[in-house]
Amino acid sequence: MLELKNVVKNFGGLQALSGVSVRFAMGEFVGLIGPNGSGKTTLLSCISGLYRPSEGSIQLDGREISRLGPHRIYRCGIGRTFQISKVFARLTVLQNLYIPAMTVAELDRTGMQQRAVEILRALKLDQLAEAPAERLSGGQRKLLEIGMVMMNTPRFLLLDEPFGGVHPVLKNQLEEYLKDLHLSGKSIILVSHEMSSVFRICERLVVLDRGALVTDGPPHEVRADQRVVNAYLGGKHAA
Amino acid sequence: MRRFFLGVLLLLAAALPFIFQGYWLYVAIVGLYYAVLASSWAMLAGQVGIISFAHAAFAAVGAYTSAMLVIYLNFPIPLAMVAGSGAAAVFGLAIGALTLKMRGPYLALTTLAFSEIFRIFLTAEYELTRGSYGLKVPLMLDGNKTWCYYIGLLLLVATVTTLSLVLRSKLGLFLLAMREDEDGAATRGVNTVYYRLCAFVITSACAGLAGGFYAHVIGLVSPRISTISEMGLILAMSVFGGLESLMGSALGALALQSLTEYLRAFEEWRLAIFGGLVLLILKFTPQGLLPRLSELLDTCRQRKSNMLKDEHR
Amino acid sequence: MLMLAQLVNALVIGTLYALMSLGLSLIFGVLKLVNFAHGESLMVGGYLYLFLASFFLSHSCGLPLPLALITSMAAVFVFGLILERLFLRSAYERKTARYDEYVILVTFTLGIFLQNLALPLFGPYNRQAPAIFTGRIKIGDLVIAGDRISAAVIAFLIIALLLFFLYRTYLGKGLRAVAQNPDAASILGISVARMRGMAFGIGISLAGVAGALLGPIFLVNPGMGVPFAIKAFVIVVLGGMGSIKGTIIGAFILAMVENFGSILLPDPTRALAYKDAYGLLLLILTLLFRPQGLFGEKERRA
Repeated sequence: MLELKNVVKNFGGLQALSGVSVRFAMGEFVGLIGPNGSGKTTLLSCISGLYRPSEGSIQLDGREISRLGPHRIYRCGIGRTFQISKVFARLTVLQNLYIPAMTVAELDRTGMQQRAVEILRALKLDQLAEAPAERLSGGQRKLLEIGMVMMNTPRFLLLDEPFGGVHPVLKNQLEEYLKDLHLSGKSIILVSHEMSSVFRICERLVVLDRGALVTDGPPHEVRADQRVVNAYLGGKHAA
Repeated sequence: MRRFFLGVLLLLAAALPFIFQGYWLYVAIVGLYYAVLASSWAMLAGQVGIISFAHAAFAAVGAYTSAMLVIYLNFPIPLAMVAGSGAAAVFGLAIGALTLKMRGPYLALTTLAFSEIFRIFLTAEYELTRGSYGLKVPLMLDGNKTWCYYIGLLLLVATVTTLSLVLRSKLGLFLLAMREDEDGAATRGVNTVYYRLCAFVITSACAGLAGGFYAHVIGLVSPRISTISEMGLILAMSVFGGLESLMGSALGALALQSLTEYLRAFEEWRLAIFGGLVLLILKFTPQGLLPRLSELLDTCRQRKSNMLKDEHR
Repeated sequence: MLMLAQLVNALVIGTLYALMSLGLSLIFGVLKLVNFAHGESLMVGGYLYLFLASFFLSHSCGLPLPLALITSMAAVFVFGLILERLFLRSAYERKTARYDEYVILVTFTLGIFLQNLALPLFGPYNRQAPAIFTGRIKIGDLVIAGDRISAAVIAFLIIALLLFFLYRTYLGKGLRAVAQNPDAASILGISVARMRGMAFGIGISLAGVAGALLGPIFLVNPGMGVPFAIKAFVIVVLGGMGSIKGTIIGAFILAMVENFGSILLPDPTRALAYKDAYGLLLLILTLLFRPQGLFGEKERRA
């Protein structure tokens, strides 16, 4: 279980997160939504160790991880992707997949190659295995990033806008892939603006607004929640 | 093609003592010292993106350690050189551990401060180092220049080979990934600080080894090895030959070293000229002069072969 | 008495340190680069003042020495504008990949170039620049050399002017805006490129005038800038990169450490030699215990 307690993140005078407490259980498929600037990406960066929270704690199965560096957190089984994909442009697609696998001595060489081939096939990228990653389209880079995370066996997947800029055909394929991952027992935390996808595939939604938690519950409840509507409409109707 | 070129180069280098003797061989030996320094510095600056100004100082660490072990403790010279290289690696480890966890110019600042302070230390501790007069050091192989030259050549080949192998290994792949995207590498499990530190320590050890070689070939070590101008010379050689290529920067070192000999008459203007040259290179062809030349040669050759093809038609 | 003399000396030297380090800090804040040619800018200022002041004196043309000071400062300012235009602007505007590495290489090489240009031009020997005020000031038993006190007073005035400029004038506020957030500043209609040029010019002119003031106290030679540049680096890291308050406080801390540290070493020649080395100790301690510096932003990304 991943548990955040009262996480605060300040950037100079700006408070990006003002005390967020939320729990993610194993095997959950959670959508993290909220208007622009509500702190979704900052929250992911705090969990994945790129930012150190100014206050509060983040625990994985009761173990404090908020002080660990990003590579340690990755090795704890928390993998993430980025809104603007971070693939290694001058390396080949295969090399991109090998890098995360080599950081963890989990697989031997042949095991690594087999895993890479399986993942590329599942993501329909197998034609591009030897191509440098800079030749991939934006959508393909998103897929490759997820593939990189899947090279090891992460327990939590933090996905930042995985559908952004992805071709509609590819998007359906990606949705199916994520559903399969979820069925195989992975926990997924999905940040996305694609409401239709989020409501279709997530079991639970967490809504952030201006760095604070607005609501947390199953999609049908969240959809009916007036506070969520207010958050998206820009607080005009807020009490 | 590349392999052929390398082979010819190596043959030429091996035949050099039969062509040149005496003074020019001595010049070539010093050139080899600089070539080891320049290629290892280029690996650091060009491949890893760490700019260290202590490379000359690490050479001095190696030179003085090796010299003093031989003089005061009667170490055999090869063992002392290895120890000198180790001492440089230890200093590299300490400085790197202090600064590499931070981004930005911290390492450059600290290494510059270190090299200047180390020079002050060498000058001030007169009883140990004979201050700015320098320490007389026993020569290796009884000062036989031909053998010294071959040892230097061996060192250079070993350095370039080792560093190329490192770049092709797992460490090299991680370094490449970090250079492409630091956060991306870190969130995929690459311990960026650790691998940067590895690269820094390895190249520092190369500098230390080169320093030890220099000490026992020249027979004199002085604080001059550790000056900032000397560092500027190494930088100029690396940039001249191309920061992103190990071979290129080694050749750049040899080229500038021979140029230095031709510029004997302008001795005092030498570094001003090199500095100006490097500024121009950085401004106009940041990838370096030699790679640019070989590119030009390639295009010329291609044009020629295209013309030949056309004629055949 | 000795302690008091040391304290006064530390305050005098600290003011001069603050002057040159503020230049480095300003350049870092606005251009996001460490100027590795800062010491050589100081050296250029030192020589300019030396030649101008000697000229004024030898031709007894009645021009006051402070004019030599102002002229050399202005000349270094223009020099800075030109250098920024030649080597730094294109890197910024083309958004050169590896900007950080490029600017370190360029400024360091610039330093090597200037230093080794000065060497054959002016010779390796030490020269003493004429002081603006050569008398002595006696307060009780305490005697302070006039060159030192006048240098400190002038440095203090320049720092005060600089702070007024940065916090009260339109241009100064523009500089600070660019330092804080260049994107937002450019949206507000501030020309970021122009501010970068200004910052570099002002930054190295501060080093230049510090060199002019240090010339009479220490000696002028082509390598004079190196130890001062290293001190400035230490001060800026200690104070927190880009922090003005931190830089000023850091300057006085380093001056105190150097002055009182040399009392600790029994051997006087060695104490003198290692005076320049205390900075490194301070630098290492800072990096170990408070890497962001005294007043730096705490944000450290792994």
